[in-house]
Amino acid sequence: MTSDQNLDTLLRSMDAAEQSPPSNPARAQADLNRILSCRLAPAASSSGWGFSRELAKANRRRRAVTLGGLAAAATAALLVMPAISGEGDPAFATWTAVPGTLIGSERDNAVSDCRRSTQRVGGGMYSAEHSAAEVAIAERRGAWVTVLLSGPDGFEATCTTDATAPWFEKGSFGSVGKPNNVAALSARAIAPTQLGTGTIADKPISLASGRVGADVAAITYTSASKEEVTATVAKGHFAFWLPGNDLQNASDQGVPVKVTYKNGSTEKQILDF
Amino acid sequence: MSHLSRAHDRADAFRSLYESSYADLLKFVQRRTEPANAEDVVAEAFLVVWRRFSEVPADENNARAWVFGITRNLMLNAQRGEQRRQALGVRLAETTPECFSTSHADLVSSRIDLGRAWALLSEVHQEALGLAVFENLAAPQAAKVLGISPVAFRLRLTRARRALRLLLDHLPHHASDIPAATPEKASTL
Repeated sequence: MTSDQNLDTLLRSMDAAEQSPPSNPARAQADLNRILSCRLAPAASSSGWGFSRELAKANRRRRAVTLGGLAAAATAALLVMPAISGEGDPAFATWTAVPGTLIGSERDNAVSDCRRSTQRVGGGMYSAEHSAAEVAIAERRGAWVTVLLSGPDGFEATCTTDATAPWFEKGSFGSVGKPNNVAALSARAIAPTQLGTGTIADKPISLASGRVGADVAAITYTSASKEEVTATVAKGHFAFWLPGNDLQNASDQGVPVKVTYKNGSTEKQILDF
Repeated sequence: MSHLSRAHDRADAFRSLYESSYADLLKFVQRRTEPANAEDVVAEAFLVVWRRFSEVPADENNARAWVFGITRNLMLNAQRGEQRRQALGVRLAETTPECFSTSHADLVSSRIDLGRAWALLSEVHQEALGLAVFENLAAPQAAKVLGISPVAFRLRLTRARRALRLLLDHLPHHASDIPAATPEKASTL
């Protein structure tokens, strides 16, 4: 009985907490309310933002939802969850124009965070698609991670998150939904499902993501400051984002990107709904 | 952003921490004090956490350890008029051999022996083992709870395990169903 493992197992079987009364939810809630009602010294500087809601807007060409200029194709919910108080990277100081690939536990954590934060959006209306969704993109830009989940019938859930923010305040920005009619893409086509500008930590962020045809190997966007932003292209999808409001009018006017095909040729295309 | 909005964000973040930590913290306290007082201790600890919320670590595991550490200090300071204790002892569940079948006899016997040995352990050793076994904390987080270095915690845990094994090996075979009384703790190694 004296091996550490055996002793630990035996000790756990003698856990006094298991003989104690279980927690009383009513008492816990009452205590929480009392604690939150206590007056405090002024809180540390915080830069929380946004809220989670579904908005619908009739687009002249297709249905979309918008928030602060960000649009997502078809039936979708834009997801904005509160963050971020003083820690992490609210000023995008670590952001990089060229993405890295998430691997290992970082990837696992980002994917599970995205699944958790998007599964109940829209009252669970996409729960079946969400359960079947697979990871198409998992990229890193400095402290920031972007996950794109792809499911049946064009379902997509995307999350952009500061991975270094406190875990209990970790916000997520993105969209959840699926187009009304999913048409097969031609080999060289690009079709955005999320395009525009939103706000994180009181600062604008421009995002574009969606589907690509089989011949598309790479996409780059040249920002207003002449920086070349490289998209992640994987598993029939693309995603890129950058700080600022570059894509503020993109959902209405479109935005030019350079597309590289698998044979090495390039072409300018317009990202447009 | 208005002060009202900032306060709202802070409250939301605290609520998230509270809801995710409450059950674990209640068990932490129940293992170390009378169960009847546990919810009061937890409420007091979370009030301190709320007041010091700007200090909460960003990492989830470290935040959990930080909350445990605040609670431990509260409990150590609870006995006014007494010299501050150096460690929080950990209770084990009571083991009684009533109504057990023959197949359970060895297990019950082992539990009684372990309970007697545990009662003879110093609080310092109980505390180290408790954090590792019951709270399942890795050395860096357990060290944060105790306010010592991870290396010091690993050493303390090794000594605690050794002390427990020694006590078990040297216990007389019990002839009684009554767990041993604990007139005196073993000295801290």
